[in-house]
Amino acid sequence: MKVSVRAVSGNYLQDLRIPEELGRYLRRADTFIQLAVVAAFQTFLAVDEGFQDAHGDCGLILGTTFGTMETNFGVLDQIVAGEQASPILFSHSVFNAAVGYMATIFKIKGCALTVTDFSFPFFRALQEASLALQSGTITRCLVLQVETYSALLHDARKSHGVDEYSWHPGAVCWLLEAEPEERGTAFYLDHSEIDGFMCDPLGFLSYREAVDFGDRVENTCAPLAAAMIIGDEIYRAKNRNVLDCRVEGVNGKVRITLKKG
Amino acid sequence: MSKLLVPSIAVIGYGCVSAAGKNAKVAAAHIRAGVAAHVPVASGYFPGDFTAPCFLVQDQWLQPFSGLSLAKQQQISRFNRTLLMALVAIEEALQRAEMSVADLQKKRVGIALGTTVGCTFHNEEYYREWKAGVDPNSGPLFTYLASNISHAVQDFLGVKGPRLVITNACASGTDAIGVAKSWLEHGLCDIAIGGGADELSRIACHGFKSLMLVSREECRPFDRDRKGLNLGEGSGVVLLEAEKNALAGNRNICGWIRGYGIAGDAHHPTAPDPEGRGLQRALGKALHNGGITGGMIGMINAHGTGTPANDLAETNALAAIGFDPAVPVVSTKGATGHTLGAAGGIEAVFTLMNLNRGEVSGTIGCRNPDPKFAFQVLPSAQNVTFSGRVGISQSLAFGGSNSALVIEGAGV
Repeated sequence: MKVSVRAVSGNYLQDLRIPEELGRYLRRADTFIQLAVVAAFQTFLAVDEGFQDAHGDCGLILGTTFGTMETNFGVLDQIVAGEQASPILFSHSVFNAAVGYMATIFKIKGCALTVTDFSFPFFRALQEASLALQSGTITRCLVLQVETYSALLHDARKSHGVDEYSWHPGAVCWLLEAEPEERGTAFYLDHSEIDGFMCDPLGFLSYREAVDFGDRVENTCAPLAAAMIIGDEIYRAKNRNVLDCRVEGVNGKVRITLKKG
Repeated sequence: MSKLLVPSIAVIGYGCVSAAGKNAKVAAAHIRAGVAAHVPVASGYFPGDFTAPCFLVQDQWLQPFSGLSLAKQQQISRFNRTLLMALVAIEEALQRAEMSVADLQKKRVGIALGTTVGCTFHNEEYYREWKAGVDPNSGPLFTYLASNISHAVQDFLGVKGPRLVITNACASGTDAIGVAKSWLEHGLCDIAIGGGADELSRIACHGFKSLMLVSREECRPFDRDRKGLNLGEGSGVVLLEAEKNALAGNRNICGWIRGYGIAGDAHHPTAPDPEGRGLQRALGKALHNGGITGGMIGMINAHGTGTPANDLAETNALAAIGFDPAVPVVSTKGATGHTLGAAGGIEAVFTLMNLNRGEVSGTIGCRNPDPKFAFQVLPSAQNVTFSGRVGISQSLAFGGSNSALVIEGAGV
């Protein structure tokens, strides 16, 4: 059995358009939830599946660096002002609120996990999804990274002089599927390895990483960038049989190898 | 993957700290005695003049790993309360396993911990200053950036291996143990620490109060007069190893994590499915994963928060699965409060201890079990013995996620 990457999508907030059919579900949702739901919607669309198709055998693993920080601060605003907290704002500030929305909207009944790490949250989510697929508890899995950051974080980066590149909110989503060994024309996950280590906290504000594809290196400075770049490369590399990606930063390194055939 | 190839995962140590006690043994004794050690919180945590019982860990219990080097003392002095509670539980688990940190460092060690508050930045002083346009002292922000709970534990223990923080709301601790189990099954590490930790916070207190889920009185899980939950804090962890390696290392096996299941309600972003359909699926998966039938279950540690919706969904799910009505079902939140991301870890420890004793104590706070429930629970002041050494610890989470562990005691 192998784990194939069936579809990939990604959006930055400035390009986010909420599809009409999702409008009523996302009327009260915050940006974090909107980004996640729309990314999942686009991913299902890429494999010609409607959002109301049953996805009972699908899992859902969302990784994030900073989670719903801005919405959390919305609750904190009310607390420091001595006001009652808004139940909707509090509900949306819980890190797995987006996963709850996705499970409800797309009728996903498999595992639904939210995981956080300051280093490589997307790749950690990818590793967990791969294990869940290999164990046979699900047959497909959406893997996401969603980041919305916050104004406080932007100011902290500025005050420490590490804001030469702006962080843009966005979401990346991959659809993984368990497939028999002999099947498939899509990339499958051949190898994944994560080695994280402790760094100076300032390293998590500068977030310098290099994404190395063997024939070229892209330098990035944002928590979402590596997953976004690799997603783009999968989309572009349709004629390649092997995609070997290494991500290296002050906080560790990742290697993932995707193959066809 | 073929079921036959999956190794048995043994529990070689466990530990917990909560309002019920500074370690697992003390907490279990208090639960047997029906002691609820909450302290009423008059002000501070909740808005306005609202007061409610909260279950706090005593500060003097939070001194893990004595005899540390100066560098380690400095490191620990920067840790937040959630991390300190996690380390207290981990130290107890290591002691029970008769392992030192140096022993751990010779292994590939996976760390999967659940939390909710522990992964948020909620320093109010920093936030106030920043809102006022002042450039705040970076200390609290840098502490937050150094406090990803699994990363910080990994760094403190000086170990290498997979790590993950699971933020699945109230099911986080249960899911973390499931993740740790899967790492060992797939050979990603030699030993895994799984569980959860969470400190009490003003955000959680304000938030749960805004949702009208907080009881102003002692919580009464499964009682006909239940009025909501009480919040708490703590940590609970299990130390896991593939059974064949544990036997080869002459470890004292306390039990096994036989099965894990997780499933979504796909019902509503915040409310549980009233029939507990997601929980039914999670239980079915956990039993299947462990190769266990419902008839083998000796006891069930329910999530049992004391909110009307949770307790109804849970009892409906247990009835629908068809467990023997004689199987004792209990909640321990009357002794610990709802410790959110820690709950699954703490309750897995209590479940294992009950399975090893073959005896379980009734639900503290539940004096008159709700007769409308489709499955009746064990009320307070009743201790019963049961046959069999296999049980379940289950969690329901905000967001409609449900998780269950099938645990077997070793009778030690």
